[in-house]
Amino acid sequence: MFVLLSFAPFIQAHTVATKDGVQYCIGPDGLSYLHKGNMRRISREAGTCIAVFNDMIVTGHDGHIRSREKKRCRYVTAVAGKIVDLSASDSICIAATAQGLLYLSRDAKEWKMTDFNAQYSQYYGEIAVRCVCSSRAGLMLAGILDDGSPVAFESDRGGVWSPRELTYNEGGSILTLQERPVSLVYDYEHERYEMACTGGVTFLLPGCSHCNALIKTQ
Amino acid sequence: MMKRSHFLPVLMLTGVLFAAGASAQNLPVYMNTNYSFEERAVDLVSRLTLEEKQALLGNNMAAVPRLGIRQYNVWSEALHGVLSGANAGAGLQGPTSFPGSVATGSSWDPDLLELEAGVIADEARAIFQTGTKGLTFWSPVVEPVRDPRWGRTGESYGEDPFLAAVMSGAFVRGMTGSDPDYLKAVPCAKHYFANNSEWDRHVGSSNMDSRDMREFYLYPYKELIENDNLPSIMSSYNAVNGVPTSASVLYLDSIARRTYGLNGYVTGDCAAIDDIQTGHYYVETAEEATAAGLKAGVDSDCGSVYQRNAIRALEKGLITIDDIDRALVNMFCIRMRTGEFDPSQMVTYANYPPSVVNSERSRKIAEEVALRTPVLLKNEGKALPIDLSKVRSIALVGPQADKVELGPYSGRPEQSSRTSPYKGISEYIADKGLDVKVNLATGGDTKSKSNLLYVTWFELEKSDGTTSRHDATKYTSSSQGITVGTGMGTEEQVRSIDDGSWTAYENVDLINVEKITVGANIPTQGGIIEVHVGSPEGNLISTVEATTASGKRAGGVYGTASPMEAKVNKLGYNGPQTLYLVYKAAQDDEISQDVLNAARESDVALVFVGTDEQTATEEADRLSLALPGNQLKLIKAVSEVNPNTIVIMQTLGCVEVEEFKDLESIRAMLWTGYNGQAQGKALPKVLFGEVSPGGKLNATWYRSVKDLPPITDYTLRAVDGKPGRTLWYYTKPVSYEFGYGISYTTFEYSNFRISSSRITPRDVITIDVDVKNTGEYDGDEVVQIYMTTPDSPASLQRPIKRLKGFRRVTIPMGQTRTVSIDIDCSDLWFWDMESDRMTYDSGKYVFEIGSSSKDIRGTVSAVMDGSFKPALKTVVSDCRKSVLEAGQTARTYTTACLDDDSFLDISKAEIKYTSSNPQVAKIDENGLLTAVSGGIATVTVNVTYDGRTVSDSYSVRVSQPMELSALKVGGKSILKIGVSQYSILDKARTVTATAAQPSLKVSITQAESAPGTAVVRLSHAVTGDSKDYLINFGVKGTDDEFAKRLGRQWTVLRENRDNIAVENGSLVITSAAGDIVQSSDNAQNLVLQSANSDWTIDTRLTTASVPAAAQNAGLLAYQDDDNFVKLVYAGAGMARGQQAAAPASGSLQLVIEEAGGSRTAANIRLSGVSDGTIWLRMVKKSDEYTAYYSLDGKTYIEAGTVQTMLKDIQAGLICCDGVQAAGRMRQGAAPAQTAAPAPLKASFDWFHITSK
Repeated sequence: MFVLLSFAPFIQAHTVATKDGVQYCIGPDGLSYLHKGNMRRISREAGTCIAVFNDMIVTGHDGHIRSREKKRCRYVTAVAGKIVDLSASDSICIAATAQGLLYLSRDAKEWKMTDFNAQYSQYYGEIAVRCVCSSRAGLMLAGILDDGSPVAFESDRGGVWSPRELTYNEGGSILTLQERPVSLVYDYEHERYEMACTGGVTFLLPGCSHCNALIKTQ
Repeated sequence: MMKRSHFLPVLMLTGVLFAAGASAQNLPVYMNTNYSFEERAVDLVSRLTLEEKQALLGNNMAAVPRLGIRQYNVWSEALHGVLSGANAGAGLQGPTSFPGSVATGSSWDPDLLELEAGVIADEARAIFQTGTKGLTFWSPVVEPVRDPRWGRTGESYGEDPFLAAVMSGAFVRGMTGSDPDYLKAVPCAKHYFANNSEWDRHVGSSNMDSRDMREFYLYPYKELIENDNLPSIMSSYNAVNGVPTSASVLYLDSIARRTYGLNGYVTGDCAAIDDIQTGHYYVETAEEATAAGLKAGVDSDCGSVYQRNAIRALEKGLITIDDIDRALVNMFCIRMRTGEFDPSQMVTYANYPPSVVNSERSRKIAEEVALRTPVLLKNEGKALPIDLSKVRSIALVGPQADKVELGPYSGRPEQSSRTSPYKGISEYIADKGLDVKVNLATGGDTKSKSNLLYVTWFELEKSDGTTSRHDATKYTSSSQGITVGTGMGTEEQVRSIDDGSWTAYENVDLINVEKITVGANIPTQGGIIEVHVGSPEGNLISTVEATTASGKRAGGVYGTASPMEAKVNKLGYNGPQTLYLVYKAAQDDEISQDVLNAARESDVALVFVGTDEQTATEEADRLSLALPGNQLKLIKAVSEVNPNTIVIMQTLGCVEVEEFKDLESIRAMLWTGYNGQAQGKALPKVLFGEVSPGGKLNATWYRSVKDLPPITDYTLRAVDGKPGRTLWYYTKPVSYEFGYGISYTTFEYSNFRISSSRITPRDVITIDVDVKNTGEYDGDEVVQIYMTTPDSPASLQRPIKRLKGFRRVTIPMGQTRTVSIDIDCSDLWFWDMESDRMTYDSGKYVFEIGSSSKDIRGTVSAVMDGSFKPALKTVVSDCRKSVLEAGQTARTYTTACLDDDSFLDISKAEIKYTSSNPQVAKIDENGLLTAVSGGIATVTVNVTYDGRTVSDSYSVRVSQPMELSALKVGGKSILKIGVSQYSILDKARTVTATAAQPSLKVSITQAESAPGTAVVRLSHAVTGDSKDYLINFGVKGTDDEFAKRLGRQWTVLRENRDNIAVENGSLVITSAAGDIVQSSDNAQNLVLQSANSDWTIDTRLTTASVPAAAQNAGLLAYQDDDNFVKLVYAGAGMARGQQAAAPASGSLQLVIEEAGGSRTAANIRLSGVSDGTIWLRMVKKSDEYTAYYSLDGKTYIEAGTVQTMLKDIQAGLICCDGVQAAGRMRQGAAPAQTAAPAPLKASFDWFHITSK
């Protein structure tokens, strides 16, 4: 079973996932398994994302979602546009393009696409998706509206999305997040989503929006 | 609640798309104002998918675009003004911030509060119309203040349940408005109930007997629900007697709904559902917490537990779909009662412009309220009012002298609307043209000595670099009052740390320890941690400076630990030691000489002191009742230098005053609660005699915190040496009693009368008293009536006295007013714990009439005959289902509560059931409901007992599956379960069909030939519901390579020969103005061939230029101009950040139109379209159309799927200039036309069709 231990952008735009010293590199040809630690340069502009879904490594690269099991790339799905983020829990994978096309899968093989903006833009506004997260707590996506303000939405199964308040309490005043989301993770220990934002800000989103918190790195 | 209204065919607020010219008959029930709110809510809920239902169970209710339902946040606040700020984009100024509840509670003026609440609701409506907030507000707080240390004392109207009920009742009436149908705003009383200590609110249990529960804690809710139609309550975090209120069927259903008659919705406090599992450990899993909450009757979860776990709970059998439906019916009922789903012309409260917010009227009322709240506590030698003609200088000192403290849950009013005391006094004096010097020297501070820190861990580092980490919450012993908790987080912390508190840790290895690091959060300003060995006074080995003053960050009450380190003085310890962490507040600052000079040099010194949000707040009770910071020192120091010192306190409630209240040089003392944005405008009018203070204390001011029992003790009566609580049971001396407040003038009471000397519980009596203003100023007096029962057996420990009536009256100088106060004798009840019902003691009832609870000016009395035959009060009926299927039955459950709050044995009553629509659902004499056929029905239940009839009703939606049992073509069955559209590549043959239910009518329109469509329509004569089945008879389609000319298989609709040609192996269509979306219906040159079957079509399209604006070209599946699916390469619009340059590529759009209402199912901005060439493919299977595109002709990418029923289908090609949608699409509105771009030239290299 693959366990994603670290996933980090290297200098010169490498992107790798490591497990027990084995490194996978995302290159222009997609995912390759490195035998000797030989890294190849890839372009960040290609829109490269990686997630681990049970036994499979799932990558979003160059307009395709590739799902690899047992070291071979077995399932390839063309997507409309560049994938900005990809995430998987043990039950559901989600990939998103900046335009708001969401690709969901329960097996990393067959993907169902829904257009978030086509479905919701009249209600939530047109959003540019920046990041997504799939966890045992459900799904979250975050992005920005036309006016640059950040937004986030939650869903249990990916079919219906509820807006998530981005207000927080500071010194007795209720303020609203201004910084833009960059990436999302789920912190199982503290049972909350953590959203890295521009300006060195981390925004914490526990189950109750009353307890949202903003942390500025010093 | 039944409501029937006239229908007006107008634009719908929610933007639901309907065919042009829709009438009431075509409207879904939930949009049809001819039905009641409950009927409409039941209909709406019946249409939701399971995933939609789950997503609507949280406070962030999702939008449901396919039903035209907008998103909605249930959570808004309006405790003393809408909790919001300015929104320039929406044209909104910052909302008005009125005096807080603790201040308005001291006005004892419910009429004024009702006026204020009406203004708050006006502003709420204006804000709602901008779409930025909802109309459901989680205000007021109706907790009586059992203990002044409670962190949220500032949000409550006072310690007495009667006062709290009267004042919050006024708030509720003002918010809800007086329209018989619509709610202006939706208040919610909280926190239900007995949430009266902050530090343990997530984990603690408020334990009490049923007398305290009913007489004290529940009383305000009973009054609001029964008398003011309160539409909502919030279940609290805490447990009561071991059961979390949010999980209690008893508290939420049996008492709130079935006893008191709550008709509305219940929300959980934020994370209260989560607390059922993670705070109280009442259940083990989140699914069980979901089930507990829903079954108890919590309709909405402020949090994510319901939204993440309801489906799982359903799958596990912990709840039924009816539990979910019931909650959503309650939520949508409330939303509908605000008029959200109705045409604005019908809604009384629909049109409030943004200018209402912070209007001059709002500001004036804020000032008026601020004038009515001040309580004069002391006034020796008529120090007040200050005669400005006789003073030359006034000193304003103290931390609140030039500050506007708005208190908890305040909005953010405009800066220009906020007036501090200094600003107000200065302006007042300047306006009067007086030559009085105002010397401001603020001085003093409000640093809190309560809740200094939340400590999580500490770590010791030795000289060799090794460390040992210790869990600070696992102390061996501690000082009294220390607690451990997580608050709203997940990190366990040592809490309730007061100045001088300590925690001890045995067996700590201190050998060669050089450094200590403490993981602590600073809620406000922090404190010092002294590290001692052996005892709290033992050797001091380190001092950790954990204060904001030293540069550490304050995390607030919700913050987590940050490391704070200090060196350790090694003292050569051997062996394990007991380490003591002793927590100290920072030293009080000395009073600056500037402050004292200003005071000394002025004729009068006004000392402004008080509390603020750092003293106590949510999650943080006060541990001390002293004025925070060095304010006590300040008062004493100023009074030593100025013999005319006046203390003005603005606090969240009682503070200890014994140390200064009797100082001779403190000539006067004035108190307000947090007095709103206009506090500085109101104050000078009071200080300088324009207005005489008329407020009265709304709580007992205890002499010392030491006089109080532990804050976690929720019992009220004195027992075993423990003092009782509040004016009801507290017997020790106090600084100021409940109801106290003096005036610039004096009042004389005389001529006390009671309308009857013999009373029964059903009587309403009147008590009259003459009050004369015997002083030198006009003034307000609050006449208070307290009830005692001297004949009650001592063993019953009746309250010393209870407030049962009051009136605030304005009496000009020298005049007399007769004050009449009605007393409803049914309100004079006690709770009988043995028989579990209300009871009335027989004997003498004395009514004490006075100026405070101790300043009694006279009494009247009556003898009560306490015998009481209870009458029917509340009937609640339901069948525990909102949606039934035809043929299903359900039993009606009815409870009937009497007006002694006991339940009637229902078998003793006569019950009659009627159905509003027996053809939909009929009901028999035993209450058995049988669903007959599709539609909506309301069952009314009339319960008669002892000559009195009380009714209730419930609505159900009967779903009628519109199904066929047989479908044949040419005698051969083609019926497939779940399929509504069939395709047959053959000649047209006779279609026959049979409905699955005999109540359905079948009508068939045969296809005359192929291509052609037979339509089988099922309809219900009563409800008008119908469903179509389509059988498309088709012929095989014909490919076209466009080699020379357009093939014969084509027809060209609205042909314009100038713009269509076959050339160079392509069909070239040049766009012209028009489209087929919505009502445009004028696109030229639609090239169409019969395709009345399942198929795959594709083409290769090349455009000479990138489509501009709304231009589009591509594939079409076409029934007519109002029913089609098109997959087109279209204009992309401006990309984000793009300026004048056109985009490099267009977009791919999948558009569906049904009955003239169109929507875009996918809109994909493309990049990498080479040479303007794109491949398009559409696949039709039954009623499903799936779109694909390719940029290289090899790899096809799915672009979306839509479902629609089309008949007599043609497939083909389109190229047009398109129309730009004008904002949200509306019924009947013509889309705006674009400025004409250069025509788009689209070349279709082929058209391939594979018919199936």
